[in-house]
Amino acid sequence: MRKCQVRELGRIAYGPALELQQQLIAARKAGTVPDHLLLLEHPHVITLGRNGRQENLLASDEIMERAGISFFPTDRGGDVTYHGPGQLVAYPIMDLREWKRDVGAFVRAVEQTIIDTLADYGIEAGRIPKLTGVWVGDRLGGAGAAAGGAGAAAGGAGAAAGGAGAAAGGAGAAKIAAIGVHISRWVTSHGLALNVSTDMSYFQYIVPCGLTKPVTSMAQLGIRANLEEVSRSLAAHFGRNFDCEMLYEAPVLAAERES
Amino acid sequence: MTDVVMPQMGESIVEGTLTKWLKKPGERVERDEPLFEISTDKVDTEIPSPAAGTLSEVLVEEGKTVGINTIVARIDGAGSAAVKPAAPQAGTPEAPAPAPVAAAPPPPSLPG
Repeated sequence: MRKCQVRELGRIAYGPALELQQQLIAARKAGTVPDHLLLLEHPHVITLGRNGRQENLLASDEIMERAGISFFPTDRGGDVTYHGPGQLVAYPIMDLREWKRDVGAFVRAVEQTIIDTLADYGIEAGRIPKLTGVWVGDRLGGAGAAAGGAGAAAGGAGAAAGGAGAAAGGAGAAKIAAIGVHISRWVTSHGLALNVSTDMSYFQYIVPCGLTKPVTSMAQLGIRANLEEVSRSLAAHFGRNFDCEMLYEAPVLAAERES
Repeated sequence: MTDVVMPQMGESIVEGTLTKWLKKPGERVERDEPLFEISTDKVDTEIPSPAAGTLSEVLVEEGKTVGINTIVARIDGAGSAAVKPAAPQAGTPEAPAPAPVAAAPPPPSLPG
């Protein structure tokens, strides 16, 4: 079975995390390290994808500075997004030549990993076709939520199954996790951001992913969860969805995992 | 002359948006050097050049979405003819170990 090294980095600024990713990408391309999954949270930062539109950043430099938000243009896919405390960020550094060689399958499996993680907390989440990311239905509009759940349950079957939930749930849906990936020679970087207990007011500074759809968090759905715990759950589901054994560096963590 | 094609990034991907040329027409490019970037479904991918030579013609401009295997550019130069894509997947960024010099014999197009 392929191995995937998990690294839990805690709270780490965007710049150093990016440098670490770049080192790992180079090492992964050279074949000197296995796949990695970096789990972390960033201090307040707004990042812009390679093809993002600056107008989706709504705040001036001055307002950003006053709010303590830094800004990074990046080479990931997607538009503008916010990262901050309470948001679980996961960066898979994975060589897709050893797993399907399929960018679409990679994104669907990342989505499924998030959907499975949320299911551990009783949250039914799903996909919306052409709107990459993970969505939950409007809690008040029960139909959307229920249909979204159906899509999520059948998610393994692919986009068509997800589509059923999305068509019904699209209207009242809110995005709970965003995805933006960069690939170079089949090695992935950047990844996903799942709002666990994110202070959602920071999203007012942007049009998230260039979409005028609402964003939400596990906390907003009434689920109080600890970031570390969610990251353990996510790593486990990542291993299942990508058929790899997740390795933890510290023995004490490995023991915890087995208990 | 080597045709550069929109690579196939997986079974489910039928088209890609050419988001950025990393070389200008007339510029020299080495085999395996990043030549352009494409965007599919929140994924941005750097595509390495299939050959060494001069980027002689750019056929698809930035921002355009085209189907896989569409010829997006032509490279004119030494060593190019031998690595002309023979199969649809030959243009994908799965090139093996980088060829250090332009004159090096082309590695197999579909390793592993």
